[in-house]
Amino acid sequence: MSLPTTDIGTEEYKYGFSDDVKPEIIFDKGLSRKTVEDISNIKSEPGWMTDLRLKAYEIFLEKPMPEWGADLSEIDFDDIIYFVRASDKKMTDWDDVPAEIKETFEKLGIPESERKFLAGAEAQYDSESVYGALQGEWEKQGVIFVDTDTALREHEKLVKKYFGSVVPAADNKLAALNTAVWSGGSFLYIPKGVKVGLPLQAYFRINTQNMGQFERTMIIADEGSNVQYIEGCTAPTYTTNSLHSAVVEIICKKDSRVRYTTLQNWSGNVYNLVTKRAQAYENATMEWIDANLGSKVTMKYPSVYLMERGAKADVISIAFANTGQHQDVGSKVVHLAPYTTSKIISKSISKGKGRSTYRGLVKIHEGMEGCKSNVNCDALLLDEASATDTYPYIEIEDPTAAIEHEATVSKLSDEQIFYLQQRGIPEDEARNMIINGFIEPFTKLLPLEYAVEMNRLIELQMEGSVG
Amino acid sequence: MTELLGFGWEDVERISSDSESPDWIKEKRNTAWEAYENLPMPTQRDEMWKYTDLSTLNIKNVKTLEKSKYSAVEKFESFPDEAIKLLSDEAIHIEENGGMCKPGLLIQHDSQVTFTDVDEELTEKGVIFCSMADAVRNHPELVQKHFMEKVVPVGEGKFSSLNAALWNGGIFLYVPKGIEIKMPFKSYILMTDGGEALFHHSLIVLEAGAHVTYIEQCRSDDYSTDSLNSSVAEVVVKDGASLNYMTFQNWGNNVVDISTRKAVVERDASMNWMVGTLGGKVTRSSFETRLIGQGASTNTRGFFLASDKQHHDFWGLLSHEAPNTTADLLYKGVLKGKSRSVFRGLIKISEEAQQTDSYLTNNNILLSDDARADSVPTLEINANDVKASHGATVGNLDKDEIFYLMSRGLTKSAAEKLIINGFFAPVLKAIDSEILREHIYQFIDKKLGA
Repeated sequence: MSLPTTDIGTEEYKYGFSDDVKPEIIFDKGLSRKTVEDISNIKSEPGWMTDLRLKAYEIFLEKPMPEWGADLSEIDFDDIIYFVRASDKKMTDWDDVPAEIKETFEKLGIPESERKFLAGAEAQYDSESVYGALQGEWEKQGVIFVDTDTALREHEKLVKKYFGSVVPAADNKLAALNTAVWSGGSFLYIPKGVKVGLPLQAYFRINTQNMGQFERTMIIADEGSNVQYIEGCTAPTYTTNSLHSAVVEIICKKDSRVRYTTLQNWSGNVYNLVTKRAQAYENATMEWIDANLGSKVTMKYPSVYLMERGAKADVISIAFANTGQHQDVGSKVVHLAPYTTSKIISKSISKGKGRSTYRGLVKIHEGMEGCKSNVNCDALLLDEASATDTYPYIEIEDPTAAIEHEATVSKLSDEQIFYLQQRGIPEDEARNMIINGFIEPFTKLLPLEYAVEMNRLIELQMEGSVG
Repeated sequence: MTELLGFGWEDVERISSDSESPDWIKEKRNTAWEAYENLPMPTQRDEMWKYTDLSTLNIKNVKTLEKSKYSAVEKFESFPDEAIKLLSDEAIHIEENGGMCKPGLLIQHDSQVTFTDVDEELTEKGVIFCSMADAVRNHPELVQKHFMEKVVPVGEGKFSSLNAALWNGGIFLYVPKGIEIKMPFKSYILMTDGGEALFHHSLIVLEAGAHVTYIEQCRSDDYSTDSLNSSVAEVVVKDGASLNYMTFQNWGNNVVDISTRKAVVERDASMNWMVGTLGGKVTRSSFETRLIGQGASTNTRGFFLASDKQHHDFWGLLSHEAPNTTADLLYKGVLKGKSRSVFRGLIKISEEAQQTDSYLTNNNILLSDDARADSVPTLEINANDVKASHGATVGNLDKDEIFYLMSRGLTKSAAEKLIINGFFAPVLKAIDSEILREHIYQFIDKKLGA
């Protein structure tokens, strides 16, 4: 049986409001050497950072646009505003944050959850963070949780040591662009042995039209530490396209554990091209938990380099592609040490004319004995017009490896819907139940309020799908 | 970078002038040569060639032979010794059948088919089994419609275009409506010297309701200079017909093989491939099946055993272009020494191909530290009422299984061989001919023992 397709435009995008917040500084559109220098000057950055930015700008110019993935031909790098400052001073207390911005966050439910659950919240509004708070306790133990600009001023040595060490500017064109024009992002340092019990969270929002957001996030988990970090992303619905191109670098030292959760719900005109990579050292565990619901095009492949014996990578992701969307996501795990393990679970749902793609790599280098990897991709197609692709790359150079890859594609089962209807559940509810069950391995890893939010977002996407 | 291949326009001219081929074939060679010249040589920057480096190959000086050095033979026994040596198992088979090769046997020695034996009763019924060279002269009305047209059009690929320009061997098999033949048609392609270039081009057309099996085997000894074999096979399976196409490659250690085989399968027809790659230096085999009619199905079974520095690259496409089509692909390989394997598979389901089932599986066993297996099983799904899945595994021999067998009194190597034979069994059991299956198992045994 078939479902009528629903255009994304007829559905309400919950975060589609734009706020009347006057930016303090707004750059002209376009990118040049001068733009890069100006960004660096405004922030009074040290010389090495200015040099790094300029070098990255050169690399950006040289590198070709990736052609193997989603269609990026509509991106015009000259039609993007590279720097917007929402308010020119940092707020130290929630009460000092301007009312409009507060209202925005109010609508998003940020302070609410902050008060109730969260240890610290870092909110990025356009290019720079306006509000950040960290519960005193963690601060006392030496946890650093600030925006990356502040980190550069106050913890320059740390930033200099790790900036670009996991994702060098030359990695790809968009990583080079981010390195050249980055602004904001979170910087998180967890000292040896410290276990942060509650998740730290950050919130990113694009509010200015034609805005490019280029945050740079770094997490350094020192030996034996443990941290959970959650980021959310939204943008208002403008008629022209915006670009979000972040770089996230994570270092998990010996015995540490980092869980990085992303709930990406950009509006349907955002190009979301993000480079996320972690290095995991001896017996460390890196978990990427990645949900992609919004955006026009997302190309994101959170990766883990397993650097030393016993390191472990866990990646679980879901993608929901509605009409007009292409979710080109996946994961990369490179086994660079013996006895390392990885597990990738990917779930995707395509609806209307949406297309979801899994693109992944598992590589085990020669001599890395005893590595294990398990990859599982399941795709659900809701309409006749929806589409899905799976491109897993498996490169094995060691005979002791145990590698498994499986993928399935299916539609909502008529039998299951019929069964639920038979029990008195209306058809649309039955569909939602099945879909919630399909993504459950993902939602059960989220903190409660996020899991509830997630299910609600999926329901919102599903609205009107039973005609 | 120096050129990979040294062919030139003069080779096309020489082949065109020498053969008694009709004008339309000459024209085809010209267009194909032009296409070949315009297409770039694939490099590792091309996604489809990512894991296979052609630039290190030393095949620039391979020579095409417009005429084989060997003249046609009437009787199987009259083949020269070096050819007889490569055909030992077939000789036994013929002897057991009282000297007959029913329903048909063609043997290509170097660039020409030098031996033809076809059951006359079938010829009377309209079955054609002959060399490609004979086919273009004697059956142009059947050949011209399909030769490098819809199945593998000229210009589709660099190597298939080169083949179309320089082809110098191959077979044509035509089976009229409703004819069913149980015994397999067979062909051998023998190379008995180094430094050669073979461009084997085959065309198989099955009319509605025809059912046949075709077994093709490539063989050669080891020589000191490198050779090139670049085959193209085009297959058309019409409504309700079925074809079993088996191809076993057992070249010597210096042969580079870059081949394309492609089938178009119409309504309720079925196409079953079996591919075994045992020999060769660098092998790139491409198997594409287009299910264009409702209810069409395909089953692809493949295996390889690679040792030393052998490189096996396999590409399999299951293209569902009509509703109710089914496909299943199983490809299994064992790697020894410094060998490398590449598996790339794609299930492609177009918008109209609803109610489709498609499965793709690749299993690899690595027996040595220096071997490497890359696997890229992919899906592109544009219809929703489908079942599609793929799986890939890479691993080594299970120590527990070996221990169990050793505890039953088997030596370690016997235990390993037994497990590997069991690993291949789901593929090899599809071979009907016991003699052939036995021959393959023997070869596997020999190669594992070395």
